[in-house]
Amino acid sequence: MPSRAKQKQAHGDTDADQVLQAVILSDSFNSRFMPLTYEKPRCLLPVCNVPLIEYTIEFLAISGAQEIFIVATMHAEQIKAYIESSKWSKKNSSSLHIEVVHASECLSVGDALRELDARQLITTDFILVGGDVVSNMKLDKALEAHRSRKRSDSKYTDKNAIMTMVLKEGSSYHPSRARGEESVFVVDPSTNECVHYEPMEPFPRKKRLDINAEIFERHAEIECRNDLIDPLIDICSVEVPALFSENFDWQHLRSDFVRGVLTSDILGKTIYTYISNDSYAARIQNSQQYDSVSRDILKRWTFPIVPETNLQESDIYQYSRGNIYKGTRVMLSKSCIIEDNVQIGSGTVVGENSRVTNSVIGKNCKIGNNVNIEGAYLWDNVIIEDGVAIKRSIVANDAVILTNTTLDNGCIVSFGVKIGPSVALPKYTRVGSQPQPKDDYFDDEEESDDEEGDNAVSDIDLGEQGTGYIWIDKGDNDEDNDPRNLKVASLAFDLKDLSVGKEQGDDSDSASEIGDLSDSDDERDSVGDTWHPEQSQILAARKVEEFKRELEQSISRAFAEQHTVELAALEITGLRMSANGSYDDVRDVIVPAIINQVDLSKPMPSIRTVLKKWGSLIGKVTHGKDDQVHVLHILQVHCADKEQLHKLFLPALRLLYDDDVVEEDAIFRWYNSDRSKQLGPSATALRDKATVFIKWLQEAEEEDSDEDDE
Amino acid sequence: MVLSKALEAHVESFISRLKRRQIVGSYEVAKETAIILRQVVSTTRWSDATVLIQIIKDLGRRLSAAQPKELAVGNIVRRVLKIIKEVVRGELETDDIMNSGTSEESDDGFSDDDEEDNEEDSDREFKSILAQDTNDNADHTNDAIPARPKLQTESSMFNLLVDQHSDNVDYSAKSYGMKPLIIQEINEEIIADLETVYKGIADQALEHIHANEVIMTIGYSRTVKDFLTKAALKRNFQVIVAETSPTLQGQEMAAALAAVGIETTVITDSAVYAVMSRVNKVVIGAHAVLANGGLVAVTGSQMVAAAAKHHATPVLVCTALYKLSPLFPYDIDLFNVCVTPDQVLSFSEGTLIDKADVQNPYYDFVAPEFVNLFVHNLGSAPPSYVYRLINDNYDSEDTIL
Repeated sequence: MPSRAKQKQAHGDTDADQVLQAVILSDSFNSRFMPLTYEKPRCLLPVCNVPLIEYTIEFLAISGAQEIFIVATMHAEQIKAYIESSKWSKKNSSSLHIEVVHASECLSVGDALRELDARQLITTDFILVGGDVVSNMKLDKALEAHRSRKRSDSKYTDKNAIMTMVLKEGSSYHPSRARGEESVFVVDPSTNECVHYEPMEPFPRKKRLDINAEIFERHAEIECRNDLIDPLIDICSVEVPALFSENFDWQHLRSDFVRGVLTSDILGKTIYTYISNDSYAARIQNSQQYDSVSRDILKRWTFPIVPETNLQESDIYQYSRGNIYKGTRVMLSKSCIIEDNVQIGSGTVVGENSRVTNSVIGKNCKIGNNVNIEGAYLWDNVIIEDGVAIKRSIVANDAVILTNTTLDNGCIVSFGVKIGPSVALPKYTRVGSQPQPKDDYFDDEEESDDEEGDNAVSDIDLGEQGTGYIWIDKGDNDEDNDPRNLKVASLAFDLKDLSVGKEQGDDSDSASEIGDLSDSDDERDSVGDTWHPEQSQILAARKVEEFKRELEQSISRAFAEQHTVELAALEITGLRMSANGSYDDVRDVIVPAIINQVDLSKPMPSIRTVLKKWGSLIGKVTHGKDDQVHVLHILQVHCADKEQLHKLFLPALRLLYDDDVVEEDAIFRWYNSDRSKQLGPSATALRDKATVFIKWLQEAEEEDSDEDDE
Repeated sequence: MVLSKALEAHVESFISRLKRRQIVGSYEVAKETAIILRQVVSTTRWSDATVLIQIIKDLGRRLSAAQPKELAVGNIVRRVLKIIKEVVRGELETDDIMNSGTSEESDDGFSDDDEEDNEEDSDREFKSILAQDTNDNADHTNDAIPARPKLQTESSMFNLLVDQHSDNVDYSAKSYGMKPLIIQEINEEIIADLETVYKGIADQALEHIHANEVIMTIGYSRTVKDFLTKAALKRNFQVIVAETSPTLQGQEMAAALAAVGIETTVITDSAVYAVMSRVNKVVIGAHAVLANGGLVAVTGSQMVAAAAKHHATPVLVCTALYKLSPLFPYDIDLFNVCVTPDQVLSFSEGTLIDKADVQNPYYDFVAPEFVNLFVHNLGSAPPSYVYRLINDNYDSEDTIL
């Protein structure tokens, strides 16, 4: 076929012309790394003494990206300054062009993508990553798979494919998975199409997965995978930013965008996965992952991206046995012990009888005598005095830990903070150099218990010469997020400490949940034991509750602002789709709401005007006989509820019948249904009142049929 | 640094490919290094040889810092430095030869256009030399190591340079003539040499492999493969290949050998010692040969060599001369590369990888006492003779770049 050949050729031409674009979302849009990220953006935090964004850019460079846009929100100036001084912009004839896009207004991934769409920077398919990806993957295969779906001559053509998610095979309890943010991907193994996405927060524990039955009709085989590490590397088509603009309420890439696209029948778009099992890919979203990725780098899983590759040209690291990396001018005392998996930056001095294991130490640090550093991350110019013990903590630039101080698991000490002498910081203490701002940057809904919280924690002693402020973890702004999900995601988290959050949320089976998490061997048995369908029903009920509340607000606004029925219907549809609500719930809300609009002082004319206008709205959410019966039940119950509404029932019934919202059949069915007789005495009384109307209807119908017979 | 823009871009891309290990294998690395250095000589502005030497040294330092384990980079840089020094020295004696090759003597400077012309010229030159050189080389191989132009002691040569530097004007005028000669020498001595290494080594196969022998090898090496293939044309012998876990290069090697009709057996690495008693000769390749005659070779080589030593089986190492490095292995881990442990223990063993330390060294260091003979592209030599080869190939001034 000549036309196809021509088309193909044309396609090949455009491929060659197009540069590979990539977008780095440098902001995390959360406060996991507070107080560190209060002063420095997350993508510039050092991982193994190299700013995190270097790994991401290197990964994109390996994959052949030619144009990179870094979308920066917080600390955008710092990011810009860093990029300008880095090796990437120094290269005079570099094939890689990096541009920092300053988007100060963004509060979420969705906002950032809408900003991109507004600026029209994206011209081709692009790679979308967070500014925190560490990977040695070459994306060429995934890119090829993505592009081939668009070509008409390939095996699995799908013109509607808009995104390919690159995932790494792991296992369900893999340390590189983001604790507290795991998710299940349901994939068609023959085409790699992602058919369902389900976030899996450990608390409250999800026991079931609802999959649309249609999926089974369209796919012969599906796999539910809970073993995938999601590094948030996506190959997106040009349409993706535009889709975000269209759906202005989408905030998150996974829970809104992927779910939205997969559940929407209107968009008709598909999303694919590319599952890699040979190279490394992970993302640093929280301090637990900071720890695990740093360790993976030291243990060389990311090879060739390891410290002695010297991503920053000024570094020179040397590798020696036991995964020990030493920079230049490192001075180790004769009696100090450097054990496995240690990286020491140039110019650092380690004193007598000190012991360092599984740690990363930055440049120009001074470590005194008899110091014990275990699994800790010390950044540049840190001073550790004699007799200090640090366990699994992060100590930022220029911090000073004075003599005989101990930092227990999971502490984070921010820039320039001084601690000690002779104090012990309890587990998970966060010390900032600035006082914690009262309203969290990302917190829209201010939590009122701030002050209490401050008072509760500030009794932690920073020592006589200590400077710094205790920060407390306020968590995310997601109102339905269980605080325990954040706790498991923190550095060096020990599951035994979970009892702190036990009283919150459902206390049904926390103990067994802990067991599940800490010991994967128990998993198989405990799944059978702890299957509580009621629990998920409660959860679902809560969601419905919330949806109804929103719906109520929306409809009362419609009444107050005199919206047209069409506008109100549109708004209701929008709400219903975003919350995945059912029409039953919608009717449950709007029927009583409309009846409540009736002015009770002059019921008859008022109900006429109200139903004349809004009756059709009920009609819009009512499809078929069953729904109409449902409407009548609601009406009956609602009118029976209050004395003064009793008299509204019959006129309402009549008016709805006249407006064709409910048909005769539905009325008969309602009248004869058992339910209408069992809703309490006052409801039954209303039913009885309707008998006259029913009779009239029956007669009318008989007449009709008589006429038909003749 | 005074490199031209295009060249700088080339160097940058080479460095990043080295860092990302997108270019592996000493042959490819050596060839690319040689081509870059030739371009440096032809396109960079230099008034006299000391400037050129400095430029090459600086560049060499940058390149070898990018991937210190890829010793071929440094080796080629040293060879080029040696050639420049030779030319400078030789030029003083044979002025007339130079004049014949210099057409652009009338130009008083090297504008960019000229440089490009120049490069084209040198390419043409290079091709003709190539054709000529392959013939030469075939002759070479018959009479062992060819006699290189004998030098005076290195130190005196360097003094010569320093002395010349003092009267700059006179010297720089002459350097115009040096350029084509240096390029010609790089083409002839290094690049053409690289083209023929495999053939040079393979041609000696019949001297070492005899009928009905059992040969053992490990890993995949093109040098060894060509060596055995060549021998198989005339002789009938059997090859046992250790599979070389975890890369399983040995399986690839076995497939390649079986494809040319050699009777090939694959064994696991753990069976090497048990099988060794039946083996007549061990033939292995090398990643690099160090100053003391020890070698950096694919992981498992040390085990094979040690087993061979125990059974008094001779060990032959096939290596090209460009793999010879004047560096000394003060620490046997110094030139090793630990790659991702993924092949040893899968990354998906999530909870396990946190508890266990997994190592996956890519190379082994084989001590010189385990090696009996090096077969290189111009002949063969025992490990104790390696220092001579190194002295012939490099200037001792350049050992540390």
